[in-house]
Amino acid sequence: MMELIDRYVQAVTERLPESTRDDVASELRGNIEDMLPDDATEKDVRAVLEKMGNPVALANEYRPSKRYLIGPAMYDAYVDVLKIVLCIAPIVLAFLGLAGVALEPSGGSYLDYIVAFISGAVQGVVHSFVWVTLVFAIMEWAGVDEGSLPFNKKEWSVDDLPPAVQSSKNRIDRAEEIFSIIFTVAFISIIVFKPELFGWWEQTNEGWNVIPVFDLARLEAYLPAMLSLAVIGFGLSVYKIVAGKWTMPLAVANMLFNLAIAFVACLALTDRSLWNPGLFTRMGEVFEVSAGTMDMIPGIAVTVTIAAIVLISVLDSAMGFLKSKDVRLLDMPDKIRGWMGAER
Amino acid sequence: MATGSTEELVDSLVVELRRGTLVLSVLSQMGHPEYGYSLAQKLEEKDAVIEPGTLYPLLRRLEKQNLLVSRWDTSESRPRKYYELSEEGNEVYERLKEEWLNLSRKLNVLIGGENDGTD
Repeated sequence: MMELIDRYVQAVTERLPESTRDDVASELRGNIEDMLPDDATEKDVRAVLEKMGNPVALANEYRPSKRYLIGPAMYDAYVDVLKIVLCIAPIVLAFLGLAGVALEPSGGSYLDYIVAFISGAVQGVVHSFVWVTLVFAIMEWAGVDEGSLPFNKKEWSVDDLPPAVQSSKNRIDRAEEIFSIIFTVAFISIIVFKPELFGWWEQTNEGWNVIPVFDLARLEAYLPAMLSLAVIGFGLSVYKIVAGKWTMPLAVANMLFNLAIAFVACLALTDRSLWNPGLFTRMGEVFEVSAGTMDMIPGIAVTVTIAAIVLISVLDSAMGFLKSKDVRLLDMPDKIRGWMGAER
Repeated sequence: MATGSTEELVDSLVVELRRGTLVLSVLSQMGHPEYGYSLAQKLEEKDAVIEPGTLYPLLRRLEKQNLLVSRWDTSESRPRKYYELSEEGNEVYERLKEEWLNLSRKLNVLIGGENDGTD
């Protein structure tokens, strides 16, 4: 009989923070015993415990704050982004599955193709849920809210109202962010699941032959960095969609992210062991370039690519800052439009 | 056909309505030290039952908000945790009481007005 009470109290307190457990336990036990008649039978105990209700619900009442992974403020954005990603990832992974079968030397039966396609799609669905939920849970934890920034809870003022005019200077282009999410998802799916698909494709008598761009063993060393950058970039895009407009802190975050991307990209590009030497040999054969010239080409290509990456990063970062401030330069089109409208 | 869901809706709205009055109900009875069960009985006698599963956790929450102070009494056979209004709790109670009287006055006007219109 006492054992029932012990089990009930235990079921409640094991769900509570350690610091309050003992105190709640003795108080709860006291209250339950108070509710029992003097010479209580097991039936009385059962009646009282049932009156107290489900221990899980009771523990929730005792807990200081409601806990959730993704709160109501973020939920709509979560569903939107999940839909976008669910449209892309399963298709990408399904086709990656098909490509995997196609590249097998022995070829595959129809059944192999169907199985690869379906399992790729299922993987895509699972990964979509996992990663989107992870990103949103992190944002929820950091305190991101619709239209407000993390770690910066300021009182709302009328100035924060989104402008009525569509062509606002600091508005974030949703389409651009959605494209960026699609690109990130597709790129990271290929890099993680079928990196050998990045390569020089040739049709031979036995079907397609691919010479990979990357040294696959070496590439694995870069995966953690690439994966974390993808998650951060994904989160940044989602946050831009949620926030809807450029702000100074967002521009700073954007710049830091660009910096990180450029850093990892430069590191990877200058790492000769990351590139498959077989590719260069084959390219030399195909384009009938002498081995000496072929040695120089990767160096030139790397320099050009790094220059392009740095340029794009600088431009994109600068754009963030320009758009988050009232900059004269960007006022111009509006002014010209207004001036032209006034003339008519 | 719709009666089942109407019934449910009314139930959930009533629960919501009552939830807002819980704190005031509890604070009103805390002029003297009370422990969980004694308070539950006191409320029951006055026909203002609060489920024990709601009441006991609520007492702890109010203590955490500094509206109640507590002490363990171990002199009797069964140790009991007694709660009592703090100074701040007393002030909050007085102000809540005023708000409630105000609110119910206004609501009575609103509800009364509607009755005049329909009858």
